[in-house]
Amino acid sequence: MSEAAILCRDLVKRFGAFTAVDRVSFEVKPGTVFGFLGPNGSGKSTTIRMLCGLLLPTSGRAAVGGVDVARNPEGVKRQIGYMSQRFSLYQDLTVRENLEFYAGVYRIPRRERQARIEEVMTRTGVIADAGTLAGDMSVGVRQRLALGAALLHRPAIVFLDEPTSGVDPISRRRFWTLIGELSAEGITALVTTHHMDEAQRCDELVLMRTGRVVARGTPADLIVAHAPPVILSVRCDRPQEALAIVQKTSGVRRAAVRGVRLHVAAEDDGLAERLDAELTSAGHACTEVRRIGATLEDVFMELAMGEAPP
Amino acid sequence: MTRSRSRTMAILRKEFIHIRRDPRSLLIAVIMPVALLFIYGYGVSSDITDIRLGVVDWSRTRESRELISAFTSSGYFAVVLRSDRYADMERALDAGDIRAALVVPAAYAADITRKGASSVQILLDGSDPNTATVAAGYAEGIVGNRSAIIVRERTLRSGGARRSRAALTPEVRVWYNEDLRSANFIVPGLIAVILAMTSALLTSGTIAGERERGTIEQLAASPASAREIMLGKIAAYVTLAFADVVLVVLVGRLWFGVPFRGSPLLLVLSSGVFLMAALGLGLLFSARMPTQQTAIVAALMTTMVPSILLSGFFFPISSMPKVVQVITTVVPARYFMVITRGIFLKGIGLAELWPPILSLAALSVVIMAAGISSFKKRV
Ligand SMILES: Nc1ncnc2c1ncn2[C@@H]1O[C@H](COP(=O)(O)OP(=O)(O)O)[C@@H](O)[C@H]1O
Ligand SMILES: [Mg+2]
Repeated sequence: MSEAAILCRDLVKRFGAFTAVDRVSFEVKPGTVFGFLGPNGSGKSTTIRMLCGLLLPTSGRAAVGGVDVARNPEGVKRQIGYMSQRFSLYQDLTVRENLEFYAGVYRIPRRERQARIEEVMTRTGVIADAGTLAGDMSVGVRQRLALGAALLHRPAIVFLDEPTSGVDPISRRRFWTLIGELSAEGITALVTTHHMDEAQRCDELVLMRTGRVVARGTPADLIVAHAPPVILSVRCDRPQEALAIVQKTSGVRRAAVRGVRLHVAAEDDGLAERLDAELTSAGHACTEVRRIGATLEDVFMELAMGEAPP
Repeated sequence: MTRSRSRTMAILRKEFIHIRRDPRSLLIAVIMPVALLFIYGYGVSSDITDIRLGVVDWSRTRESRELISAFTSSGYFAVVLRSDRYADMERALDAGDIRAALVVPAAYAADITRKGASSVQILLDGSDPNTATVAAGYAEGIVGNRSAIIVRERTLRSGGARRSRAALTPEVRVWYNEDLRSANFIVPGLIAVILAMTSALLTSGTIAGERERGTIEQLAASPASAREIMLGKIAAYVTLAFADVVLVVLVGRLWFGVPFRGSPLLLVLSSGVFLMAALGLGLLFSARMPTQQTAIVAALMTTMVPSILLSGFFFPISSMPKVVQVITTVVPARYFMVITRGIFLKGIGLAELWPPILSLAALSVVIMAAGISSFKKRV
């Protein structure tokens, strides 16, 4: 087994008295897509910024590509690509000018520069916009440009902080096809996301909450380990009103309206009959109570929204 | 070394694109200097004529009448009040009826004939310091010219035996601006003001702006060092500022006919030293202030205002209160003002100008070092 591409051991970041990242540990195998999940403010970006050499950890250790982030942050920067949460290329520069600038910053040899820029623009599908100002492009194209800029110097490891937030579904799919290609080439990608379909495509995940890692593993592992015992899909009339009744029924951990149905996380199998009875006696016509398989969404709700970890 | 330069070059090129695309920067770099030149160059040189003058002539001699007519024929002064009483002058000055008063002592003619020297008193209305400063310059010049004429007449009479001994010596200070054109005085000084202002305005936004737009994050995650980033930015703005020096010199020379007697090379070199201070201050604020707006305001307050008010541009430093005089010693424009005026008008070189150049260099090094070190790459 080869050495981990990214390694964190008890990483801590405090801002004054506030602990944004609290003893975070994980490992990322080379060439894999590693997902970072967690509600806003759970410390994902702060962790990434420490791993990129942008923030000094308060304590703990982290190595990226075998380079210690605290001792040699500039060494880390040379071998990684970083796409920050906020678009951080120059909006008053064109696509090509932005790439030319970063080609210069990364000291890509002059004779290779144009070929490399063309290659990146083709790959990320921004070549048609080469002469467009970055500020005039849609969020989707802009994010692909940012990815292109992060890949220009052919880093072995890329950090993508919410690359698809605010991006339409088609562009999102396209973006993830690109991530898949990178992974196939042996590039390690650490990606943060709020979208469960994207999390599903990761080789491994960590789920963060209030600065801590609350779960880690493959998507399948996470479902097995953390999904609620039973998930029910309930179809009835006036679901919005029915929700209040369902939430009060004993054995229900969490319930939410999903379109015309209610999505219910339950303690045990026997709940299906009890729910049917409760709803019917309250005057709701219950047409279907079906048990369905748990998804990452259920895991996320369970871990991120439930009781705070001790 | 050459590899580090390529990174700095990338930053320089990028800054030029920002400058080119931002209409504000063109406004600051081109329109503003020219506008300032015309406002100050004209505003001061041609608007102040016919300064209302009161005259007390206790001498009542041919000599005193010649002096007074030198004032009126200069075109700068118009005699609107004559009196024998000093108090009348004070009252008229208070009331604003006159702007200046000339007092010729009773012994004027006698002193010149016997001792070969005398003095006259000039009262100025200080409530308009601009006019007062310019009027003082005119008055000193006129007295100086009279003095030269008296000396010449005397030498002619005495058969050229005794050469130059000034008759009205003490007041003559504007001898190098002999045709009394204040544009000659203003334009070289304006170089300092314009350079301070443009470089502060242009640089102060740059780092704070990158922070505000979030672009600093990407740059910080790259292997470019803080030094390379700063140098690239400085190189871009130095280039622009030098273009401004050329612009101001050309407009001053060709439009206002200001003489240029000294070494162009020395002007370029000393401008370079001054720019270090001006750009350094801009960068210092840019790196320290949270937003672009506050950075620009802070830079303006610390560069433009002192370079106009505390540099000797308008008000002679020697006439400032002692405390203020001490403060001016840390105003880079104060030294640069002496250098540019020296180069333009006196045509003097390093032999005479080394003290202000040395002071300026010391200040510049300190400010630039503070500017560069204030930018930290961590975000
Ligand atoms: N520079 C900072 N100073 C103070 N607090 C910060 C700073 N950066 C982040 N935080 C705080 O740390 C917490 C984690 O933030 P972040 O890592 O951005 O979360 P996420 O990316 O998961 O949304 C938040 O509460 C945020 O307000
Ligand atoms: Mg974040």
